[in-house]
Amino acid sequence: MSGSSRGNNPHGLRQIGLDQIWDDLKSGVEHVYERQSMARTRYMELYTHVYNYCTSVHMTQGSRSSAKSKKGQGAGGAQFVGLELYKRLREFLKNYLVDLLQGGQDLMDETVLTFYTKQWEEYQFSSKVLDGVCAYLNRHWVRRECDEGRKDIYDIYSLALVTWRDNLFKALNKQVTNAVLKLIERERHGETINTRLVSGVINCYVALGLNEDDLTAKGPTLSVYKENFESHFLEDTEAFYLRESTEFLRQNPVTEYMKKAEARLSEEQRRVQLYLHESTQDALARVCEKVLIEKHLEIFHSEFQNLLDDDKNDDLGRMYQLVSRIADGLGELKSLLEAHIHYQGNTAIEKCGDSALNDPKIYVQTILDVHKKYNALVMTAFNNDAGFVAALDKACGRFINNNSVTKMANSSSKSPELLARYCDLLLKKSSKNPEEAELEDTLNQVMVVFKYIEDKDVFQKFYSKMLAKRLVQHMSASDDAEASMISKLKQACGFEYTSKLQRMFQDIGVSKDLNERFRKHLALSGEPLDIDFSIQVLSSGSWPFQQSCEFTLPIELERSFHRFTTFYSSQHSGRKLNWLYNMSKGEVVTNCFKNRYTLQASTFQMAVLLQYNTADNYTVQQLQESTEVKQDTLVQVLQILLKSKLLVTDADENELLPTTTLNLFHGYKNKKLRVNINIPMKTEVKQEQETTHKHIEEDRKLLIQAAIVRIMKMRKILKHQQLLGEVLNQLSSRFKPRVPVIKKCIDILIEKEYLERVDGQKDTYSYLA
Amino acid sequence: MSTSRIFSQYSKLPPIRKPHNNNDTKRLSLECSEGQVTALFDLYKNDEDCIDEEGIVKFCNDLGVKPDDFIVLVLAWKFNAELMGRFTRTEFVSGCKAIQAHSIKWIQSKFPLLLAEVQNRQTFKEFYRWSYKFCLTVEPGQRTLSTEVAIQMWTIVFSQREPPILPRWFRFLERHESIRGIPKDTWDMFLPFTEQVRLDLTNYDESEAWPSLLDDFVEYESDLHNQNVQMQE
Repeated sequence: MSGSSRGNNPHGLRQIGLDQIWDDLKSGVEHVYERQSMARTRYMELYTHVYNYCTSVHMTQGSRSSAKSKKGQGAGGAQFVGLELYKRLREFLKNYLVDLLQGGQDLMDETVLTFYTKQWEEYQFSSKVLDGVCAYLNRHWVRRECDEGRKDIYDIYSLALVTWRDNLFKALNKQVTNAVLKLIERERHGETINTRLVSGVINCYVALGLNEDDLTAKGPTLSVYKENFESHFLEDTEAFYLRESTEFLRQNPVTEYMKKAEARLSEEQRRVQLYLHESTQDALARVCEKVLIEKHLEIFHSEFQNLLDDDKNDDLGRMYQLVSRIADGLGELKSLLEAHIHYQGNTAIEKCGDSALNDPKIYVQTILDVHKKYNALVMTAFNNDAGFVAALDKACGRFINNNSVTKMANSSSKSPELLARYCDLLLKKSSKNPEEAELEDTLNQVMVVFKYIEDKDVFQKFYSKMLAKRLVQHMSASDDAEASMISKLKQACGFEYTSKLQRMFQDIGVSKDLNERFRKHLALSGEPLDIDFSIQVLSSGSWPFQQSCEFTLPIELERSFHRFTTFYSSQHSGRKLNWLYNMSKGEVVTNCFKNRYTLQASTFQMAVLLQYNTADNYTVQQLQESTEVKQDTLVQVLQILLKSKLLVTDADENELLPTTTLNLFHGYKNKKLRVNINIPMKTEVKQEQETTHKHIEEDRKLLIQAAIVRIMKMRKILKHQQLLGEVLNQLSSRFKPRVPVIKKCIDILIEKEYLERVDGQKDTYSYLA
Repeated sequence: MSTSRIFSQYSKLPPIRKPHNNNDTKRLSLECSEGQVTALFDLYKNDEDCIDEEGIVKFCNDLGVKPDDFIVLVLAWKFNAELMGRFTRTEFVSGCKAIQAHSIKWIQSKFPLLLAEVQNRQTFKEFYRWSYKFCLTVEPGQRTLSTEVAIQMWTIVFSQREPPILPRWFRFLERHESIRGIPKDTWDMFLPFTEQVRLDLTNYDESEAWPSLLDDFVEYESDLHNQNVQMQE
């Protein structure tokens, strides 16, 4: 295709034959590839050669050169010339590389790497230069060829790469890759290596992954890198770590292994960052995790329990970090943790033994200690992972509601009862009341336990009972603390839960005003009472006190009684006052003993003592008749008076008969001048607890029935299982109803004809309007 | 009513129509038997034109059965009797017509038929459920059957085909004095219980919609069983 150098040139363009320029061009290219520095002028000469060649027009070739292009499209406009030059360049490169190969074929290990990387660097550089020299060719002829769809024509730089790939790379890549892998292995064993050798190879492989289908596509495809390096690398890595981890575990404890695994994982991560391609990061991590962690999961699991037992928080944290990399790896750990916490909680409570049954402080503190410990563990070592938090919650829910104490009491309601009693201790006035901030803190901790209590309605009943007592007896340590606790409960359980408690508060406030007004009224009337008298008026719906019993008020108190009743009815006509004598108290001053004592006594006690104003001895029967106090209550009152040595008897204190005589003990002495004989009666306390529990059971039955009716009214027809589910759901914030109780309630409602079974489907109910 | 089913076997006989149906040709034969039935009724009626308990005893005697026999209950059911221990004129007459009998002998001859009819599962279920309501009528205003009476009723109702679990059920009821009567739902559900639950109670699921008394029964039985097993060990 070398056209005539001189000939038809109707357009007056210079005709440049390839041969003319080739020799000089060739020597210039050789110069480039010998890495000798080149003067700018020489560079321009070479460039111009190419330019001239490309722009020269060969008339005869005009049609033929267009026929050469496979698509056969006629060249419209400028005619591009280039194939011949292209072919010669291609030939040159091939020869150059084949020669080069000779020098490296027999090399191994580091030497082959040194060879390869050096040659590659230089080749790349030179090829860039050549590419620049051939810029015109690239921009015109090559581009047109590509646009017309020719697949094997590249820009000169890419041509260089392809030629390298097909010649040098093809021949050497196995040795090179092996050498790289050996180096990496040495580095893993702790040797320092020349990482530039590796990164050089990697860069080469990456660059060779040309997207041959679309040269304009951004970036290489990494196909060469992946096939010729990455896959082997990953295989190697897997084998290496499999060996290492198994061997290490055979000779070392798991805790040490975890440290090593951690170190290896970050080492591999750094390795990629330093001298491998970033796309390998994920695949490498997966491989390492598989071999270092997943393969040994069973060992991890058994070690986990040991670590828990020994409270090795750091190691636990490390294990968490490692195992969390494995999908679903944490499941077993979560179960182990839950079981462990549950066990710890139960054991801790068991250790307290019997004392925890009746000492709320010990009970609650033990629970809090366990919770605090494992809460901290979950937050630090387990990174507050939701699954581990859930395990903690589940375990706490179980051991707080069901433990040796509740078993001893034979009732799951013991827990909320003890918690309520603990609150009472905290909020009651005592000799050692904590500071406000500390109290607030403790109450918050109480709420932590409260959250886990299933039978919240039991807590409410006891709490309100104790609050009522505190309010009525003015025994609250701090009104702010009381209010704070109520608002915490409201936040946790809603308004309805605390509405009665708030009303109780209000009543006390109102009573204060009432007392003021009564005093003013007395003052204005000019007829003062002969005794100091104050009252609390409680709205009966909100307070958990029962009706009072039979009682004859002592004469001395009658006047106050009447004055106040009159006063109150004038203020609030239509309201009925029910006097709770069993909750009232007063002070009596003694004039019959050596010293003048002031006795703080309950009203019942006062009633008995005041009898002795008229005589020195009475029988039990007589006392019963004059006070009208119920027999068993009276006996207890008398026993306390006997214990306090105000009264004496010849008979056995524990067996008081109606005929037993009780005498006033004139020789009464006490170190203090103010004596409190108003101590609660033991049986009263126990009985109260039992009645409270019974009330709770009855309340619950009603709540369950109400819930069933509500649900059935809405759903009209419902299957048995679904009904159970919805009932449990609706009541879960108050307590956990037991299925047998729900079934009994269903039976009751069927009998009362609120529901019926759907005929033919024994486990479907329908609502009867 | 189940009358149509009986008469399918007796195609030759004309079907009995309700009184308000106009079918004069058939009336004649009916009137004959009606006369006899009325005469039968008169044999046992009392001053208030009903057969009371005394009358029933006589009636049963003549039939050669005891008043608490199963067949008598079935008869009451067929007669649509409203109150236990009483047959009104209407009940007796239409009842006899329904079973196509106009004399003692005829009634006796229908016994096998009636027994067979009530063996059918669906029919027995209706009969069984009806028995409870019927038994309640002994005491007006009563809403629940006492355990004692319920046991008696069960004995009668199951006398043709006693479910194997029955004796153990009775033992449970007798040993638990705290049980205050058998509510209708429990009575009704006892029948499917005998049909669906195995004798060793292993396929009983207390989370299903069984009445709570049955739950208690199964629990009691399994406790007993465990005790026995332990003792054997």
